[in-house]
Amino acid sequence: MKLTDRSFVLVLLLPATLFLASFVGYPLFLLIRDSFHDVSIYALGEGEFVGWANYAKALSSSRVLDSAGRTLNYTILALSAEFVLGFGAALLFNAMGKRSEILRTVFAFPLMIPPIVAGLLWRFMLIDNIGIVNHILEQLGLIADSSDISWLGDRDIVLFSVALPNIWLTTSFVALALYTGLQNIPSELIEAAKIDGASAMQRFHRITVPLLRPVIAVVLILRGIDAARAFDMIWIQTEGGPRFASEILSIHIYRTMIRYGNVGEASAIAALFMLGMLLISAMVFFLIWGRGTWQ
Amino acid sequence: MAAFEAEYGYPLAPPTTWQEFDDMAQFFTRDDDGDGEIDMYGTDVKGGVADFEWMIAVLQAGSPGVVLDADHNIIIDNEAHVEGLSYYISHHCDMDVAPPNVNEVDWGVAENLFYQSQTAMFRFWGHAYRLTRGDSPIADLVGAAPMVAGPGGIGAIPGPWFNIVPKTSENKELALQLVQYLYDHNAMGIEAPLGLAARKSAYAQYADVAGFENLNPLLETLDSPQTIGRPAVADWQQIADEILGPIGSDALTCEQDPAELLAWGREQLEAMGYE
Amino acid sequence: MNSSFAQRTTLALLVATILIIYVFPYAFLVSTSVKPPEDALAIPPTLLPQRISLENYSNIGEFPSVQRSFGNSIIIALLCTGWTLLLAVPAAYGVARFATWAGKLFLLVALVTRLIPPVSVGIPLFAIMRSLGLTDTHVGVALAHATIGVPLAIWLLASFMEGIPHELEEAARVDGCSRLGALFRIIIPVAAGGIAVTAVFVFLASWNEFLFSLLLSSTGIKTAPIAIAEFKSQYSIQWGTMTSLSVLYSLPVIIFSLVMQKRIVAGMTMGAVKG
Repeated sequence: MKLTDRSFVLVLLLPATLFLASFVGYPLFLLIRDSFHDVSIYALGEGEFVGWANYAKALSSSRVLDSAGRTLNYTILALSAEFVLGFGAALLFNAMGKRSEILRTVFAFPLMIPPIVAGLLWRFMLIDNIGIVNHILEQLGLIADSSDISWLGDRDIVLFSVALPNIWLTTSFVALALYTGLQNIPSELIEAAKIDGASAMQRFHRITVPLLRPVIAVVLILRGIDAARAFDMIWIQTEGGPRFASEILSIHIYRTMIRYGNVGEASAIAALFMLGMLLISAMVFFLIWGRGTWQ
Repeated sequence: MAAFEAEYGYPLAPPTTWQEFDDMAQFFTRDDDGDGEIDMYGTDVKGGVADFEWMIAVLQAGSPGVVLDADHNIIIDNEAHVEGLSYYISHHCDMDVAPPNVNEVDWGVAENLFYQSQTAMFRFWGHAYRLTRGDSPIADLVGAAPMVAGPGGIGAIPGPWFNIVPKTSENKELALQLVQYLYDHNAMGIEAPLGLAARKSAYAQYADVAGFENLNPLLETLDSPQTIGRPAVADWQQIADEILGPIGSDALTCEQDPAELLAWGREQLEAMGYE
Repeated sequence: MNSSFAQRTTLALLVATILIIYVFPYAFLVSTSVKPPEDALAIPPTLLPQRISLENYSNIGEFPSVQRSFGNSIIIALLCTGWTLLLAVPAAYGVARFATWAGKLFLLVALVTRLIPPVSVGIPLFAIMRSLGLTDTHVGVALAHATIGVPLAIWLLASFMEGIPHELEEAARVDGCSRLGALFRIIIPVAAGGIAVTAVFVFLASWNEFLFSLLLSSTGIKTAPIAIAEFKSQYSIQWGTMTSLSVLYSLPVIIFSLVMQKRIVAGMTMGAVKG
């Protein structure tokens, strides 16, 4: 029997498709099903059909809405820091040319560090009184006493503090991805613009940024999704505290689903969360990539 | 120490009441080198485990239980809860006898503060006495006393112990035998690294052995009628995380009225279906 | 670049600052791990160890379950990597070499799986594994990790395979090689480097994964990150032992990655750059 190319592709895709269908698709189906039932963790697969009640409860709960707001804040905070620092580093590497190799090696280093270790390490460094960060700030004369900043205890700044390990770990990725993108910009284009008398600023705006647009879009979407889904790093640092001030949606879902055992309610929140991420990613994609001068 | 007696009118000894504890906490909160910074605090306020710590003061204040009574009726807004919560925050809000970064002080940090002699007294799990590290500057200076008594007497919350035999377990018979063995030979746990046992009889066996000076005070605390376990309800974790923790940490801002916070707690419990 | 001395100095300072800030946290972790355990939380903290001690490392010996967890992590990561490559290599070949709507749809679906927060599918996965009798088995956790590994691997492998000239295969086909034969004889050997890098990524994804491991394993097959996180349990954090465990847990990964550094950075960023 002779297979056409098309059916040969289907044969190649079949094992992976079956696997993803049963271990990603089917769990998603179960999640959606649970979101319409009153399911307890002690009796999975059972529970009464409650229609949209779990969704109504989620959308009217101030705890859920607050967590959603914090998720957005956390994502924007982590992403903008990573992007600004990463872009700066990428431009620096690009300007340094070959000499940046050692720097890039060091920069790639946090990429290898397990998130759980990063979370614990930063928690360790940020304990006030006895943490090294406040100690150094005190030695530098930036704060009067090592107990002046309560990084993980102050509700007003904790969301920033729990983003620090995330920024530390992933700025590298942003920097290296953008650097590769910069390297792919034909140097003739830049040279031609120089000859035409364009200033460095103009070259950056007119050539670098537009040509880098697709890379920027992908980096923003990938890192944005990862930041929004963050769980282990925050859990290990604060478990969402103090008083829920660092509780983003994934932590809230975990708490509701596992600690309180309200699987139905948590499933509805999770479904809404995924829908929200899908919409935002699609929007970012069309805004940045869709409008670009991509040929 | 004569200085204490001169100031407070009675000799210095391990505190037995809230009043004595407060006196000593104030006495030991001091700036030894005169640089305007406090070098040692009298005690700690563990705001990092606020969902648990203030409950203990509630029992000492004489409440018949924490949050819910024996029949699972709401008692979170009774007088003893208000008094207990007010007392819990007073070391931070009124007396300033505890390190001010209360939100970061959980059990681990509290332990560390004590062993680095940053705090003079700390209220802690009974077995910790045996865990004093030999290289701590105060290793030979640590003593243990029964939990402090409030107006209602000595009170504490014992940590429950349970061994679970899962419904799906393949060797239920063997597991039950193990649980029986652990019950019968419970005292063996006392010599294990953590020094924990589950039965009073086990502690009693070691109570007079040198090096186990913590056990008689522990037994005395356990025997007090105000030492009461937390209510056995399935959604306790949710109550602790969503209601007790926020009440504790809001109260520690020193800007909210404990009675109002507890009234809010009642509303939350009612929303969860309690009466 | 025609840079003056001042510019050069500024650049050098900038580079030095970045390096210090970047390396500092990890250097501090290593430094803490070789301090005596009680110095981990010394007040004030010290940058470098005052005394070198390997006690934090020898203390690990007291926790046999922690040692076992490293073995579990290796077994699970290897199972996950093998299984992932088995599924992903043919799929990526199908997507990369034959432009069909099915392949494109497949890539899109693989991308969308990235949107799924692990916490949301954790419980359904647990229910599935339970009905398959795979809870608390290496295979169960490895399969859960493969749900992350397979989409990742397909994306990486597809971009590696697109880089292989079509002529190579065509020559083979003319010589009478079947399409499947071309995959095994031409594509896999030529893409071996890319497959190796993909394998490293999948291995690391499994090695670092936290939530599925937490939900799907109880005592028997606990992975290393879970064991490390559990030092943050009960009532205290044993920072000393935790730093030594963290170093041991990340060191092999770091050494491994530095050896393959160029290829890994290329692989990691390629997905983004090629889109």
